[in-house]
Amino acid sequence: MTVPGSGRPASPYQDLPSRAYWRSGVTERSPLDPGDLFHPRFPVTREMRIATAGSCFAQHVGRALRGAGFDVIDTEPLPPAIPDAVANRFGYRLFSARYGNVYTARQLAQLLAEAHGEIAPAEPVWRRGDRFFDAQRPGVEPDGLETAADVRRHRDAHLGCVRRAFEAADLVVFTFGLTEAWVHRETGTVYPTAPGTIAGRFDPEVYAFRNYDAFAVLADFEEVRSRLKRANPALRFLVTVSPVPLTATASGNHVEVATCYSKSVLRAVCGLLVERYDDVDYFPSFELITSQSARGAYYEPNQRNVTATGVATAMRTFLAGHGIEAAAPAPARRGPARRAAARAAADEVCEEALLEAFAR
Amino acid sequence: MRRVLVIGDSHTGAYKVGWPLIAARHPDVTVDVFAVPMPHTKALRLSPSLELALPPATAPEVVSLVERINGRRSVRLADADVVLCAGFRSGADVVLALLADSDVDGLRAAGSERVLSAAAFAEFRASLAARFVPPPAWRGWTDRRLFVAPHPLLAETVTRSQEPATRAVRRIAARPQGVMAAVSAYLDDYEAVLGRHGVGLLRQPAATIGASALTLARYSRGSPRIVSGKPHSREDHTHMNAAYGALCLTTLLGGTASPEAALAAGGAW
Repeated sequence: MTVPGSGRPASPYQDLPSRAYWRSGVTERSPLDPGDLFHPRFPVTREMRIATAGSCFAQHVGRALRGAGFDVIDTEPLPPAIPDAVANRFGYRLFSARYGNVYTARQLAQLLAEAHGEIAPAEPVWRRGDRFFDAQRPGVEPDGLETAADVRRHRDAHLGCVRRAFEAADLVVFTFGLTEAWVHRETGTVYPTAPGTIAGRFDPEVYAFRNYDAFAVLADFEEVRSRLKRANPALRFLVTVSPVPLTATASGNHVEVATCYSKSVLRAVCGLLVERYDDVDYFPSFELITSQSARGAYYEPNQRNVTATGVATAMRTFLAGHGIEAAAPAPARRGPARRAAARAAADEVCEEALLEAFAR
Repeated sequence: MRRVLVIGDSHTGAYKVGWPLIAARHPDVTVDVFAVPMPHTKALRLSPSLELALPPATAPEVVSLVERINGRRSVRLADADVVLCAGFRSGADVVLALLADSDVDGLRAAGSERVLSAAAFAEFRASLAARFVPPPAWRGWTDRRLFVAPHPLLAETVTRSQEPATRAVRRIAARPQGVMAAVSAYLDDYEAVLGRHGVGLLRQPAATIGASALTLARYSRGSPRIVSGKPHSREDHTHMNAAYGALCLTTLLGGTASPEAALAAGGAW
């Protein structure tokens, strides 16, 4: 095939929509215009029961979905009269059960296996002073519990809630956060935080650093998918990558290099999942927030935390993609409403951020 | 002479019919009742001179209803030494909703689906207690004392109800272990918060509460409607009767310390 009258072969890049070209898709876009980045693969509706899990950023996703009237599962609910700030401090209303942040696909796979009684994580109880913490969710009880037996009793009840959350879901929304993690050397048990950060004691003989590669992350999520699909063949998945950079890296690389590696791995895995499975869709919150077009406007001054405007933009894009009306954008002015929105964005519960306390 | 004014919604009915049962034992006390049924209770406004009235724009039929119940359309709180607000929402209902499916470390072990830590429960209680404080105009009175009487626990008759709204309470009634200890812990917090604002708490007398964390049926049977004075239907599990009102007033007046003695002091009902 040739271009008529020229004799030159037609280019496959000819006559593509404007979103396919950098100049019209990015350069000529106004800075805070999120652009035409998201075309959903399948509809997400308010009739679906949605389970959410993932890193800190996933808390925003769950909150926004709930705010938009989606049926986000909560198997450890509290009465509405209890304020969010108090509930969130104890890990309530963040995800579909009170598991806290699930930063890695390995952690999610492990949680589901544990919930079904197939594995028992090693070193399940960590100490800080005379208080005892659930090593798999050390942030949900800020002051720990009185005894190790209390931790086990609480976890048993929680695991029942985890099972119910995922069994009830029509859609699982998972936000990939990290590739770096700390594991128990002997058993491979993975933890959401490094021992010694919130509780526990770091012993290099017992715990080891892991930086999962794309093959490992893919395999872990495929394990999650297979497990959940066995119970509910109609289940679908929406995956995202957190645009929040690493607080700290134990990889030996500069934290910016480590962040790029980590996010690249996670983004690549999302691409592979979408490529391989019709029941997986990808929402580009990472691309929206980190876009050159936005010129960093969606980040707080620490260039790590995502602003309320960034979160709102991402969620509006999600809702618009699904043809669902979103709330009006937050006004771009200083004022109580904007400060409240900023507080909501900053109120995410993020154990990983605690690593900053260890910075020299 | 101590002048007690009971104000509130349909829960004032128990006090209105309960007072005559014990009035003879308190010759130095007068008890007056001003009742406005829900949802109109929410519209009541308190003026700076402590006149409690419906706003001027209130529909004539509502004003007429209030006049029919009370023989007047407003009441002067300044004329009372003690104001008791009956049927006040204390937040205890939220605690009960929380306990319907949750155990609490150190307080409730009933094999519930979920477990609350003592620390979480303490923070939840504190946040709720702060939320259910009367508005500023009702706080810090010096010439008279304000008490609030929370909604009574639902009556035992609720266990035969099929209403979805009462499901949580029925679940509690089936596994009441530790519920009253947990509710008491909340009311202790609530009383302390109210106290900081110069407001007193009139708790539901313990003698009226059964083992299933519900109000004993005998304190509910025959509860009067505030408009007609006729008893509520058998399906009403919310309102209490003259015996309940008399017992609460006896406790308020400090006639007796223990609920059992208060029961005796109230006469034969």
